[in-house]
Amino acid sequence: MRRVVGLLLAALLVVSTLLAACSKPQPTPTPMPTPTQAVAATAAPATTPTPTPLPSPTRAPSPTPMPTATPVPAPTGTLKIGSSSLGNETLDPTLAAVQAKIFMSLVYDNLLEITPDGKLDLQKSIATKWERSADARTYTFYLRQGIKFQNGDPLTAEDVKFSIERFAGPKSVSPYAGTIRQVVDTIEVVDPYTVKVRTKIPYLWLQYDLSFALGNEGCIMPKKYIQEKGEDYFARNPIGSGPYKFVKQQSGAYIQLEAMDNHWRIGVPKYKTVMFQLIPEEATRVAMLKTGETDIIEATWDRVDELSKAGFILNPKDGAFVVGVWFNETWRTDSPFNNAKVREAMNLAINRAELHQYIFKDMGKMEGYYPMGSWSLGWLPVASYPYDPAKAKALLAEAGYGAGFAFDQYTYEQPGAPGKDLNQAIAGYWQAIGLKPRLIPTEYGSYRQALVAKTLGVATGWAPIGNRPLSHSTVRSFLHSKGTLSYVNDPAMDALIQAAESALDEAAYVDAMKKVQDYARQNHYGIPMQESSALYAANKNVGKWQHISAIYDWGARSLVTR
Amino acid sequence: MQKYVLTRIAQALIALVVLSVLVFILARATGDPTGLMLPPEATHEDIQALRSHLGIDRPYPVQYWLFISHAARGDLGTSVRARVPVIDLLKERIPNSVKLAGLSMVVAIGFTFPLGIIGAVRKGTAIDGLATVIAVLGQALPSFWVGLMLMEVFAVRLHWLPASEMGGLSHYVLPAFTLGWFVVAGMMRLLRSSMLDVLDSEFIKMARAKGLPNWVIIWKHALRNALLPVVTFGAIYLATLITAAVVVEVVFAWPGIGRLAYEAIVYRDFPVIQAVVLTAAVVVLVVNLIVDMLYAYLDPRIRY
Repeated sequence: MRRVVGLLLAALLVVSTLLAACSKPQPTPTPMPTPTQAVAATAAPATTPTPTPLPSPTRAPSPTPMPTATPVPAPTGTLKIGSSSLGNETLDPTLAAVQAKIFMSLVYDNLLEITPDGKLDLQKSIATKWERSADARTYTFYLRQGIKFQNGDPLTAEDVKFSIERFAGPKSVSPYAGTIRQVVDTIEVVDPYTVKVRTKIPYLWLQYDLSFALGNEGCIMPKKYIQEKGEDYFARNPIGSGPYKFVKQQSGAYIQLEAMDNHWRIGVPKYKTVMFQLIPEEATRVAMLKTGETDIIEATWDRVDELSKAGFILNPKDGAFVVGVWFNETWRTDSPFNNAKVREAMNLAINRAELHQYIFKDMGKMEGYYPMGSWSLGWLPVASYPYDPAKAKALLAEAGYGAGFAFDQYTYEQPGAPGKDLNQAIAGYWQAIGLKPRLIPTEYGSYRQALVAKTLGVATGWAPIGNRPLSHSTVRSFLHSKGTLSYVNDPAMDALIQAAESALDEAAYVDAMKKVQDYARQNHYGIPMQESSALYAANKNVGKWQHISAIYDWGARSLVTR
Repeated sequence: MQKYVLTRIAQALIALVVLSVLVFILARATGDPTGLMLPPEATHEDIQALRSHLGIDRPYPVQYWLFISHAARGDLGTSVRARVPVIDLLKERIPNSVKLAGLSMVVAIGFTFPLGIIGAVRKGTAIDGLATVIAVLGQALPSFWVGLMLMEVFAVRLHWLPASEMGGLSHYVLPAFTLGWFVVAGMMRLLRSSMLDVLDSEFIKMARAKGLPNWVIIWKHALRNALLPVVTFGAIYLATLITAAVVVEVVFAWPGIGRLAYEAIVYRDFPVIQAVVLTAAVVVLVVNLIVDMLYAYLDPRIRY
């Protein structure tokens, strides 16, 4: 009898547990909708907060307001961001990959910030003023007073010096640390709020290298905390001066941040919690957006229409990428790509207007010459090649390739454009003028290896490059004979690039960069496509937010600013 | 028996050494991680500096010796990508895979028993055919498709379950079902044929002659004897589920060891690739050995 009762109780327990576990999941506490609140263009701190209806469960109890003042708002709710990659998931800026910027931008502040359209913004920077000596070898940064790290320590010139040295240090694998190492000579703390950086060579651009516009190299880290606790501890328990502090992380799953009460740059942050979720599979990201398990996702080009129809808000970051295809190893005398007429023909054969409509969904500037984008200083709005297949065939015949020729066309997926679709379409245009491209789907890692080793032969490749304020390094990489990924070996081009790099003032730099683009166009070095957008979809609670013209950035700072 | 165990352990060690060489070579044959860590404007000097920093510019025998000598002491190196000790990554991810694999096996057993027994008892009938079809579908349908379809139906359309990620028990249902169904085909067919063998044996005929009810014959006598091969198959498959559930882990954003391996391969993270492959090999070898021992223990007819 007892045995029967015991079995019945056990069965009841199991059934009830299963029922509880399999019950409908609680809706994610998404932030309460603020009616039509677009983020202000100037991103000025809110003066009178819009009263938001109904607190979420995580809201801190409001302090008793002063009789004549409006109540101080507190950050509320959770924002969930579903990303395909969180880089290498470390929160130490010196060890982080470029994709880490999306969460780094909330934990740390940069020495120099930028406006949404990419100009340096001293109103919002740690440095309130910066100077460059006439010989372009000494930079002086004057720091804002009163900024504190998340553990209460004040941010001073010592921290700035420590941070730059840390980026240049031996353990740093930060993507742009190479530049810092090559350029920076000594750093002097003049007083607690003044830093002098001396460079090894005349250099015009340190202010950008240490800004939010490029990588994480401008992130200011706490010297005292890192020296006391050690670097390994810091990597797992980071402290910055940003509006959000690190709470916890599950490797391969998410990074969770929590708002500080107030931040010197953005005031009171909007959300109490921000979760960066790692969801590699695109279909899963879309499903989670639909179920409410995430609020914002990276979208892909073929899901854009579906998401739009389902009522989600598309918020593309216009001009995020500059897309181009290139002719590998144009210096090979046995390669048809050595002939400028062939290169011109292959450009004229492509119907870019059609690609703009069907592949790029009518988004992005078509002018410009790859790899420079419109955010770059010295950008020339080079007109897009016209579509003229008849002239293309004539040029091929003139060059002696009237019967066409075969070549390899490598395709692989990269963010910024649908690589396979784009290359298949282009292959179609080339076939129409008698060429015989062999499409080779591969994977970027393998392709890049062969590209650097210059073992590809007669082939084309492609890549989207992040749009950025300064392009001379990417131009060198692709168009200088000694560039890592270069497909050009032309002394005249080398000279033009050299002129840009050694320019002693901005005007000379701009002039030289324009000449580089012009020369590239005259010689048809490359097959420029257009600029493309980084695609994001959000639910209605989040709506649209302002993107910032900084590479690898999602606009997280705009999202959390009231 | 002891001699057998020692022989097996020696064989396992040899297999591990051979595997370590293979995975070392194959991982490096896929390419260089620096290309994926540095931006397009990185110079040759930047690339070389990083290669030097990561220690991958040293000759292969030197790299191999460093790897194997550290591994013997439990130091599996530092992840090229994450810049943390590999052992920390494994410690964080393995439990997630074990939990998912465990529940998947529960699902698999839940299918295997009814389908296998029905298939044996009603052999040759339409219901046997149906049971086989259900089981085989689990193996025939690609698991990423099954996972995405289940997600679409049960999460997106019906909102009964969450779409993905780790969490409470409800988060386990869809991935466990996807993984479990895959395993059912093999286990169910094994149980069915095992049951058929047992049901044909003399002692069952004796039980029938004694007049025992049919359900007692099937559940108490036949099943117990038929289960042995199924249990051993299941245990071995469990090892595979723990170490190789890559597709399901990617589809359901599950932070397990399979996905760790996949990401490591994409990013050419050699230390992680080596560590995951060797860990998986150790798990499989150990489970195989335990299962063989268990077999001998449970079935007195088996002796080594």
